[in-house]
Amino acid sequence: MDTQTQAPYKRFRPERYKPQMALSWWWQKPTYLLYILRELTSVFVATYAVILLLTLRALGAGGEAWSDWLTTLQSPGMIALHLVILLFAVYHSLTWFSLAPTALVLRIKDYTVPAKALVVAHVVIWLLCSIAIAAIVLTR
Amino acid sequence: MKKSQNNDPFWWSFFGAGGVFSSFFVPIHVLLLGLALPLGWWLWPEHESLLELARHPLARIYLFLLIALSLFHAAHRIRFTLHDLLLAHSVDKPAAFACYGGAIIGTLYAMVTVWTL
Repeated sequence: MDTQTQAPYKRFRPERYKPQMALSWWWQKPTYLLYILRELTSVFVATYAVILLLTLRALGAGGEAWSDWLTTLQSPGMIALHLVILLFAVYHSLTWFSLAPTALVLRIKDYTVPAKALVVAHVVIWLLCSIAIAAIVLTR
Repeated sequence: MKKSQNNDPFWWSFFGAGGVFSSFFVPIHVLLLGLALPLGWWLWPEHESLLELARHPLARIYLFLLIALSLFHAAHRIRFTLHDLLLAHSVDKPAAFACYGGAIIGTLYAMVTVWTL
């Protein structure tokens, strides 16, 4: 008998261990669902990047193309889409800021800025940036 | 030393930069251009005046970064979310090509758009 090619006896075969995971795993615990919702915010971020790109195209294409685009933006479907995008975008912002302390540890001499203060600082800067952009656009 | 075969850190840096940029700036644009102005909470600025604003060099850079980094952020996240949802390793390679490829095409398109605005 050829003993070279035959696999030696092994009691445990980790290569045969295939953990069974249902495709619906993300539905099984609220934390899993929140995780998947957080990850899915990316779909809406990408969608908005495309909408913003189309907005710039319309803006650059002249007054008529611009007013056509504004009519499109006013349609109920687009309003609903933007409402959904806004909810996911805000969820993205809040979850991103809440992760900031894991990526950023701020030390001033021996004092470490508490994680909560970092999150609050992010939210405050976010609101200030938003107000600034709104002011720049709306005062045109 | 063996060269690293893993290019995740490269894509991750764009993911991180895009996450920061999009978390700070995407919601206000959605609120303004998608809801407040179309619903008439505020009068739309004149076309000429908005165009002039968007043509400002800083605005061009800002708009390009906002679009491009958001796309790379989303591409990276969508790639791994597909992996998590479908539980199939075989999906990863085509998903990576489609996601990063889409982001690269979108970035080039954004570059042309912002440049020729």
